[in-house]
Amino acid sequence: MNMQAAQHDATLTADVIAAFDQACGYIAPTWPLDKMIAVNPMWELRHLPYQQVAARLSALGNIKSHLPTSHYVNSSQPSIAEHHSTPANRSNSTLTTLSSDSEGVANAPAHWLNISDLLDRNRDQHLMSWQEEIIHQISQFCADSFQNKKSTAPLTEGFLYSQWLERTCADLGISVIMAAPKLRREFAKLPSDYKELLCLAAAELDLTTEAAESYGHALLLDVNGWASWIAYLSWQARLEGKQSSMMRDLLAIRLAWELVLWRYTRTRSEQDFRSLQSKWQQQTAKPAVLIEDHLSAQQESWQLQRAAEFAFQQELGEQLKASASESIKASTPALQAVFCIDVRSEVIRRHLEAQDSSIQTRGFAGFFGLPIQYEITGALTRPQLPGLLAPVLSLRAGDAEKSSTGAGWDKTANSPAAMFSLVEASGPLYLWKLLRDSFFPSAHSDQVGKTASNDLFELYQGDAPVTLEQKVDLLAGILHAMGLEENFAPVVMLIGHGSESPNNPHVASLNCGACGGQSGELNSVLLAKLLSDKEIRAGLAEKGISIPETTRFVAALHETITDTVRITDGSELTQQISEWLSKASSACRKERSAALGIESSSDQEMEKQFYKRARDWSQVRPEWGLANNAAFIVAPRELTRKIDLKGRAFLHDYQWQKDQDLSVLELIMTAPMVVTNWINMQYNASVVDNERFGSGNKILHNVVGGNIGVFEGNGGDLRIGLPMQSVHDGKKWMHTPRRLSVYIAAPQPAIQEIYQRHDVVRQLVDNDWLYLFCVDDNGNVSQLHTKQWHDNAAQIPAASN
Amino acid sequence: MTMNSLFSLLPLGLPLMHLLAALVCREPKRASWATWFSALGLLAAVASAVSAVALGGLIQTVPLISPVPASYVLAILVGLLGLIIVKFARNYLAGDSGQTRFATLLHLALASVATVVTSNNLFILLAAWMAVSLIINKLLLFYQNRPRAVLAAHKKFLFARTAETCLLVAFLLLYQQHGTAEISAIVSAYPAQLSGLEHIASVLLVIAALIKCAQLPMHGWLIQIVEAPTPVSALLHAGVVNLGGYLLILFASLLSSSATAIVVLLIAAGLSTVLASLIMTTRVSIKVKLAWSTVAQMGLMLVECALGLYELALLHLVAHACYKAYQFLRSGSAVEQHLAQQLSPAKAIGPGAWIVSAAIAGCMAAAAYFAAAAGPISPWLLLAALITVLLAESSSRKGKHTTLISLAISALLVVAYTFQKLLLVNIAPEESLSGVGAFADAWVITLIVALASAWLLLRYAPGTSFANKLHNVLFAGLFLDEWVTRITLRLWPLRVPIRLAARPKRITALEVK
Repeated sequence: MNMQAAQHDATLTADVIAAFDQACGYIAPTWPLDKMIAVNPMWELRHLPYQQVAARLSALGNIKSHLPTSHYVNSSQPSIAEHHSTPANRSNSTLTTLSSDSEGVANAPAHWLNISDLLDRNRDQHLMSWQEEIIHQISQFCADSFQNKKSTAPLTEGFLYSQWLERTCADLGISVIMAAPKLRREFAKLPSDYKELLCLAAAELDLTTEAAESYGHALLLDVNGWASWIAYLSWQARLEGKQSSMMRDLLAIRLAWELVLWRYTRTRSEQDFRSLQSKWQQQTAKPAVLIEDHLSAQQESWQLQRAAEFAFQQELGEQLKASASESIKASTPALQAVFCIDVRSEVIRRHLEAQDSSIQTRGFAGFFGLPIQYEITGALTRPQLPGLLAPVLSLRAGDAEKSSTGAGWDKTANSPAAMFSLVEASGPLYLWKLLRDSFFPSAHSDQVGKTASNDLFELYQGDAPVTLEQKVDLLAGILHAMGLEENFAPVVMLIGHGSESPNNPHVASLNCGACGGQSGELNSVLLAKLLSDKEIRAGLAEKGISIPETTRFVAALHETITDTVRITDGSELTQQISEWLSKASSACRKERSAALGIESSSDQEMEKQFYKRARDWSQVRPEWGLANNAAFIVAPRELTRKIDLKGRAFLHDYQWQKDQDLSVLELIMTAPMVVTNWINMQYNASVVDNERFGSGNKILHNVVGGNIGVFEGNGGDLRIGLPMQSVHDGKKWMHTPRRLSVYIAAPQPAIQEIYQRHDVVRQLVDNDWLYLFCVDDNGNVSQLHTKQWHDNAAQIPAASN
Repeated sequence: MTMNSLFSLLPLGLPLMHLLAALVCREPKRASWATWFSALGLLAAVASAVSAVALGGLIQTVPLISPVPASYVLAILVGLLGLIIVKFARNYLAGDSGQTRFATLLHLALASVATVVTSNNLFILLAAWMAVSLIINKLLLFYQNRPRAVLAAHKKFLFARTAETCLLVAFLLLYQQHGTAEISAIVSAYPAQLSGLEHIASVLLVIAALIKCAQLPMHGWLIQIVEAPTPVSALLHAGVVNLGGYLLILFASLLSSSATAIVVLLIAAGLSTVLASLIMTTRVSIKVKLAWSTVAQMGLMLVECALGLYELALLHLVAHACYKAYQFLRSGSAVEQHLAQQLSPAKAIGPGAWIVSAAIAGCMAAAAYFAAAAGPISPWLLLAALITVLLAESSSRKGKHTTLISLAISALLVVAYTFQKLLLVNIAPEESLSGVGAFADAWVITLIVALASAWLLLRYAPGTSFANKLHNVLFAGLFLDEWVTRITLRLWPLRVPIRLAARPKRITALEVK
């Protein structure tokens, strides 16, 4: 069997394997449902210009990167005027010619077709397609392998492939369902080592290095869901300092199917095989040309996309300029409230500030800089920080012993011998549950978080308790990053955010992304607790941060479905502050009610409706989450306080004057800016191609392996990204895909310094994954691109041109 | 019209209200009316049951309306689950372009099911039965561009027509034998010595019930129905898959007179129960797991009919309907359940814990057995299995007073079980079996032992090659569905292409040029 492989030029084979490896690195991770944070699905391709990536994905995976052109032309955006289109208009086409939909087949370029796709084209329409069956089979196998991952066995090299091969060779069903007799013989002939399989396939399918890279990528995109899951396992392994080569296994599995179909066609019909062979050779000869074709076909969409983004930027730029000229002088505030940078905070902050001029709000990453995981000893650990980071400290506050009866019951209900009588005996119990959840639902809560007891809060590093000195250092750093080192108000509220809705597998996607997809409650309670500690305050004073004795830190949670701000650490608030908060909540609800279709005459009635929505087990759109996000503004709040940003902007407080060594700016540009890019791209991708980068229809969702992800219906690939219901209300898109525009109020050299220092930042900016602007003290905006500053965005060339 | 005849017509309220709801819900503005009509339908079902109990013989019976107590129970069940599902679907499908179509089909399905359970006429029952399965077929294809749904609907269509043909022939035979289509009149003639034709009729009834309850190997569609919206899966438990059980409870006296029918039932449903519940343990996704569990649970319900324990079958039907409808509607909480398991880590359960648990369970079940006065042993063995597993599982977890709490729960379960069983004896009386009783009991005990052993083997020896092979075969569902699909397609090729627009089409280089 190895004869052919051996004949193939050995160095070429090594190159081909390297090309496959490269393709294996192109898939971005997807987090499990209980920790579901937003991910840019093209993150691992950020080293390439976005336009190139979009063309590549379109050519190889039939993945869309834009809404149909009709969306841009028809959308009632008064702002896409003639002058907005100028910068995008370099290829001499005008908006008026853009009436035809680029998705029309007439002039659409060809797609890459895997062998299974090529065979499917000539396959009887009444038979199950190869592609369908292959994905179903691989997907079911992966789910079975990963769902009970007690050991790390699947992480070992080659394990997944050999398991799959063993299983598939014994599978009598495939030939039957596919009406393909003797197909099993072909599986039996496959090599048992995955590397050998890769070499063999490369030789037999006559792959060049270039074709192998494209082909490998196309095959992985075909099982993108499971590839993303494996990328997640590798990501976690990397955070722990380990290596994983499981992606190669997955590629080998998918490639094995191709090889089997190739050989099977050869044994069945000489004529079919020759036709397949000629199509295949034609295709593998020039994958780059294919991608080029898609690049030019997408130009029109890119122009429209850029025009729409310019329109947004122009408006925001003017607002910033106007706002800078009438900046407010800060007095000593009566209340300081620190919120997460989340776009939903912008709305409530605006309404809270409107209550009184002595209220000051700030934006900071919702994990409040605490690099922690929440640990329930002997049961589970839950990261409470951005997915980019590995937790350093453990918060031990919980006690797992409360819920054992329920868990034992569930386990019994799923045991084959016990489930029968259990059902018979407990009918009335389930009748009651049905009635309760339908007619008298109670508030839903985070069962893991609620095990935390405020009296037990203890921080550990490894097994050692964190010392006072370490705590002081940690807090001094956090306060510095927050820009909160002086001028403390009598009450400083630390407000995390969370979203609790029942019966919702994607609930974590509505939670705090900076807290790893959890509610920010624990982080804010911990920080308030530490900052209230007398010894710690004394330590901070020694470092020059003196917190007045009269200043109280209060932890609270912004519940984003109902827009309620709930005190979480048992503190009491003055009547005045409670009133401000409740008025802000009401105003916030009123602003959001239209988008949710809630109508009501009185504030109280409206509040009731929001609460009802949050408790409804049949509600598939509890809130709109971060939909419509489009900007990230890093500046003192004074700059934006007067602007109604309509819940579209992430806001991070930053004062460059107090950041001599640029350490805070560096942190912002390498952490929150990346997180906001992930969120922005997750929403964009879930809109433009919900089929591939979104998780589809929520009413068909079927949770896989406890927390791994969802299937849409019975099977198919694992689905990643956001459900359709998170971005679409049934009539229109609730998120308008716009690349993130980042505005930083800092001197140009400072921004450029950080940009030069970090590959990631340069890639994001220069490859057009986001826009980076500098806002000077007068509110003038300039854009950084390919190492240069431009006052007029029109001068900037697109990276791919 | 006297008060009396008004009461006797109350059972018609449920089907009529859902019919009315199906009409009004076509107008989106009146969608909330449909929910109120569903509530009125439930009210009518409850009222008719209450009046039947309170007034007893005073109500004059209408020939077309079933006077059987089980019908009243089923009507309340359908009315209640119907209301809950209708209410659930309103928000769940909000914004879906097919929402009105969905609501209409849902109400029509409920109206048909309600007709089946209130009808006392063979042919009305059959017509409504057909309507149920035609509507379910439409719901299964609610999203038409899903290849696996198309394939499942195709299979289901063939099975459903087979079941209906069996039912039609059985009904014609019974009609011809008794000269009446009135079900209550027909069943009152039994138990009796059966003629050959009556034997055939009862076997056909059993086959129809087996198909309706999605017993192996005709289970595929029930699994693949998760290609339809979640409320459809819940609806199946409000009197669709369990209609097979209702049919057998209705014809209990006839069935119990036919040893042949009982043997067919015991073998087919018994094996289904064991295999499906083992296959369930290998499933990877929540809804598919629940669907396999339904196949197993329906199997047990049919086995209980075969044992003559109609009161238990009725209990199973009702309790399982509530249980499974709830589990499906809240299947989005799977992640939370997963976390709850993690929050309460379990130690491995050693042989000692098993033995102690089994001993306590044995005592409890034996006490209940003697208190409830005899009958077949196998159901009590299952009850003992439940208590054993529950005690063993609880003992493996930490927590305050876990042992005490789990003992209390066990005792409560045993009492609840025995009490409900005794309560329902008045509604669906036990039938003594002609000649197969002891054999049947022994067979079911054997199945239970086999099931428990296979499960323990998979659990405690997961690495061994035998357990691996068993797992793989079970994981593949014994390849049964693949074979059935193949045979179905050979007998009746699919006319609709299954690959309509599942994925946007890719374009080849050849097409471009």
